[in-house]
Amino acid sequence: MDLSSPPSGGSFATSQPKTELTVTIDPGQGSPFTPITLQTNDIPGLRRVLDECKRLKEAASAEREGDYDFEPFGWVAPYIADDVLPPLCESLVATPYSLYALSPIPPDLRKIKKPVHTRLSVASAGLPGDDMADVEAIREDWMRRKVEDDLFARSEKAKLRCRICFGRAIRIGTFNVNGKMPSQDLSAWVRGQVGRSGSTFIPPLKEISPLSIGEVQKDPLEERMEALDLHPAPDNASAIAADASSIRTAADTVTSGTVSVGTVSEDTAVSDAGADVSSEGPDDPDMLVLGFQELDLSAEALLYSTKTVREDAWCMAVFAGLGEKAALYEKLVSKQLVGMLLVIITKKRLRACFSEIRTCSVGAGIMGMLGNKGATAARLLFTPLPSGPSAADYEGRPVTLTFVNAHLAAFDEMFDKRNADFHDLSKRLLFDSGIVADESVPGGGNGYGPATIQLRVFDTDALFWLGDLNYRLMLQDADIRALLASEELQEENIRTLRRFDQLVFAMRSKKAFEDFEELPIAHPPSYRFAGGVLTDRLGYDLKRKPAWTDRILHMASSAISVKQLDYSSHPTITMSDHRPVSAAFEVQAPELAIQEYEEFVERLWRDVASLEYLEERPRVRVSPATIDFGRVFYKRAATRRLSIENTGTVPCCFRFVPHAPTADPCPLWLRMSAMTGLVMPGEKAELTLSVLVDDSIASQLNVGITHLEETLVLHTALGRDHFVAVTGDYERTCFATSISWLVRLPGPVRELNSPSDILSEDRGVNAPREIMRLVNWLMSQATDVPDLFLCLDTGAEFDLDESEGKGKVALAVADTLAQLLDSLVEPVVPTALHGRCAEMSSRDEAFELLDQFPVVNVNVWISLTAFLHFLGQQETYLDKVKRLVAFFTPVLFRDDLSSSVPVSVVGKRNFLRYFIG
Amino acid sequence: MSKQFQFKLVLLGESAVGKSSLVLRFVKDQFDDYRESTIGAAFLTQTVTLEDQTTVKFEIWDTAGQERYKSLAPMYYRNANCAVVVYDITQASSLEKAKSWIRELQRQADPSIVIALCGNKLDLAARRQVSQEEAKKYADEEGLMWGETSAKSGEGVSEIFTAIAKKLPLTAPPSARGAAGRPGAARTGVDLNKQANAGQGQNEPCNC
Repeated sequence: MDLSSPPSGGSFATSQPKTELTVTIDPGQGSPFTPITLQTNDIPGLRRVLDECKRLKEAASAEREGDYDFEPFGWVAPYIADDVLPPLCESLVATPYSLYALSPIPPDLRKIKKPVHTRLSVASAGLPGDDMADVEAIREDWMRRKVEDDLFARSEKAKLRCRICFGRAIRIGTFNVNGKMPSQDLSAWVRGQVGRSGSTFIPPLKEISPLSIGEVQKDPLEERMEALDLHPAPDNASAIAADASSIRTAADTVTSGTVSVGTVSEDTAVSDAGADVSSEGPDDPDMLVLGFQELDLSAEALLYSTKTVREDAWCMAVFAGLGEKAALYEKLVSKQLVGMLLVIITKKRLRACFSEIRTCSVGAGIMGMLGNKGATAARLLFTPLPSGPSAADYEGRPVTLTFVNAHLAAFDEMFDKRNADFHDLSKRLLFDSGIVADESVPGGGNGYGPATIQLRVFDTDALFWLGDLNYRLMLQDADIRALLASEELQEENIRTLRRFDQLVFAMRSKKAFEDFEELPIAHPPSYRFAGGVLTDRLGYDLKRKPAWTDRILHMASSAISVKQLDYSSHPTITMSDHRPVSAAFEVQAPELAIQEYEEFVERLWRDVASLEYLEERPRVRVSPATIDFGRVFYKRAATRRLSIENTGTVPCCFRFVPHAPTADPCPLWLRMSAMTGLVMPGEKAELTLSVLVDDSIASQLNVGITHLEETLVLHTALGRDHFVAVTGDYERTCFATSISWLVRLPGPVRELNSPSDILSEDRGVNAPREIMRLVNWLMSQATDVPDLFLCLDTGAEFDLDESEGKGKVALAVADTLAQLLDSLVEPVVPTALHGRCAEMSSRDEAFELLDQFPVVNVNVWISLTAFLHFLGQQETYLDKVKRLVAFFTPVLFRDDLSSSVPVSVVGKRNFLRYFIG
Repeated sequence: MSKQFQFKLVLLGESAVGKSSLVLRFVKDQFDDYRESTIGAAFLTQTVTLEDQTTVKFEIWDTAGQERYKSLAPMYYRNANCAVVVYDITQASSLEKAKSWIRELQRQADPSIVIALCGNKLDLAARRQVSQEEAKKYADEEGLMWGETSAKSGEGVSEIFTAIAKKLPLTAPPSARGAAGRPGAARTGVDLNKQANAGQGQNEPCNC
């Protein structure tokens, strides 16, 4: 039943055969919907359903009079809450529009990651959309930019004085422990490569092994742990209860004690390990965020998960892994749901910076409820400590950090389920802000409407999403193992594997984790390892494809700077079937007083508050009216300026609109630095227009009309449209064409006046002159240049000294050849034949298959592989051939990345190998 | 109770015949001796009240006359209820241009469009190159309204717009335009007719 459009005039009929009730919902005459019949024996549940139906019907009939305060069931809120706006800053309650900039709640990251023009109303030349709504969106964006450019940048300039906060790192780790108890040193994971010196503090394995967990209580280690403040002290516990005011007081107290970064204040040096070892080093992270999965695999854990024995054991192991530095840290908060545990540890010194700590969890496992899959999350505010002397009554502007530890659906084929899990968790992970949404609504006791504002995980300045996301590799098992096994090509092969990673594919195709960022993985897959005979040479379980299941992603608004510094797995920690993975981040937030910030925003707001209600029309001068890029070349960017000067007396919002509602406002070959903007009276907006013809555009222009011409329509909200004519003349190139077209060129491509001057098919040459020229030159001049094609991979010096110019030219020519081949619309080996090629099991078979290639492609293939064969023979090691094969396979057999069943990479390499090996 | 109607009107014609000046006179009763050439399209509104107290609100699109922007004109005259095609009575060539605009409108615009041919710069009648007879004859043949105006003196300006208002079909609801908001009319709700479609159309164009 569609809750948003309840059946009007419908009727509900119930009948009672035996114990089951049948409900028929009839949408009434003339409705396009067919009646729905439901059966149930849940009488109280049915009563609620009927109540809700009646209420919706009432709401539907009352809505026409526009006076019914529609309030859905509380449980629907996550699904319909997409446009619920956070409350305003108190001083602005009187303004007609909500102002994200002043809200204590950051706007949804997913929304602000999209350029503002994609959020405007549908409009085109002569058909303005909803200008009023557009003005709101453009103004909001403008204010945010102003805050970033003027206010944040200003505080950055004062960097050394006041921008230090997470000057060091947040270290994040994820570890699927497969139900095991800690039995190994975790220092590699929790401290990275540093801290080897702390080995004296690594606990003996036996003492915290699962068998002795009951005795741990009496262990001297535990006493030390207590001294190290592993468990939150009572006063910390009350802080975790999220009483903001008490935390602020705590912050103030610390502030007055003038804690400065880089020195250890006295109260952090309580460790019995002595002040020497517990002093901070430059590599100690300020914050340690660890996500565990499969903490407990026992059946009863699915149902009752109240025990914290395992949490305590793992926390203890983590602190032990920190070695002598453990004294600097304390646990800030943790959240467990069955097997999933999120633990946040911070430096004691920074404890006062954290406030409003909230946690939540959602089960997404069996039946979408049980906690074998799902996520736990934590959200907290970080307020940078003032470092200057002005600290007394300073109240800093906090930034919000959110961490999600998720465990998504397993198995190769559950790709769609993982994506669905992600979206489900995105909706259902909600933190209770404690802020009452609307005081006029009585508390949510009756199940109607949330009493307090629920915060989504995306309502944050920075979001870190870690866990066993379970995304697999789309290649065949044998391929993956073969690629991983090759030692000499490890980097190249990891890069190859990454192209087939399901998560990368999901992100690129916007199926899940859209707009998240992740440093390219350089470590081997972290799953699945096993002991015993059923493993390959690298220790991977033969029954499961190796995969990068354990991931750490992030997403941040421009209010905060997040930079991933490192991404690694830790093969020395072998207690689970996964290897732990860690990432280090540098996080910087501008240090700003709340008051300064609010005054700045209010000042901005005053100028633009009511601009959609002004009588006066905006007036701008757009110049120049004509922009000519002159000659435009393949992949050579050119830029021009466009200025929009406000010559009127009111602020002006502008946007570019397309000629027709479904079209793009801007042709593919043109990029604009902004598609929207706001200009204050007397001010001027400078836009940069740049033309760049990349492969996909060149492939069309090369064979078509080369005159570029477009009139851009710049619409000023509530005002007129302005035209800007943009022209240019593209120069054809042999790049980004097809082999079959190149051979039909009557001469060099620039001499082609019109696409129709091309030769008929039977009159073409045998192979493209352009490719042959490059190959022939390299063959005759450059076979002695070491590391041709490979010097960037091998790190070899460019060979420039002895024959001065020649080596340099040879490298450039070789690169040109590789780029030319790579730019072809269809790769040298036609895509349709990749599968067959990969199946060939002998040289003879491979040569036979060439008959299936178009003749001109065979000619290119033969001359190219002959040259590579010759090159491969120049050095004695086999290595060279292998490297050339690895380099040229993706060029000659470009992967079809839209396919979810890729052709074997190893098969393709073997095919090429038959020719050049 | 008085009735309100709303119509989309587009101005077409060669560059420098005085389209923008004509609109400025009609909307604000002003005149600039030196006006920059329009590079774009301006949107303005003006309301005419007829003798029976019916009010007609014109949503006017004043377009660029330069040949370079000709390809964009269809975007502005699509869905127009009426068009004023302007020529300069002191430039014979501008009438030829006006005729070509009229042919284009007859071929491509809404078939029910009301077209008025307007000879401007009547204040310069001494330098007249286009006779009233010639223009009137052409207009009659094509079934167009016709009039002469001077944006500078104001002569004939309100008359031609009022004549158009009278000629428009005031019985049927004005055109089947999409309910997408118009500048200035989007949320102010001045148009009684619009409220009827507001419910179904309002959500549609806004994808935010």
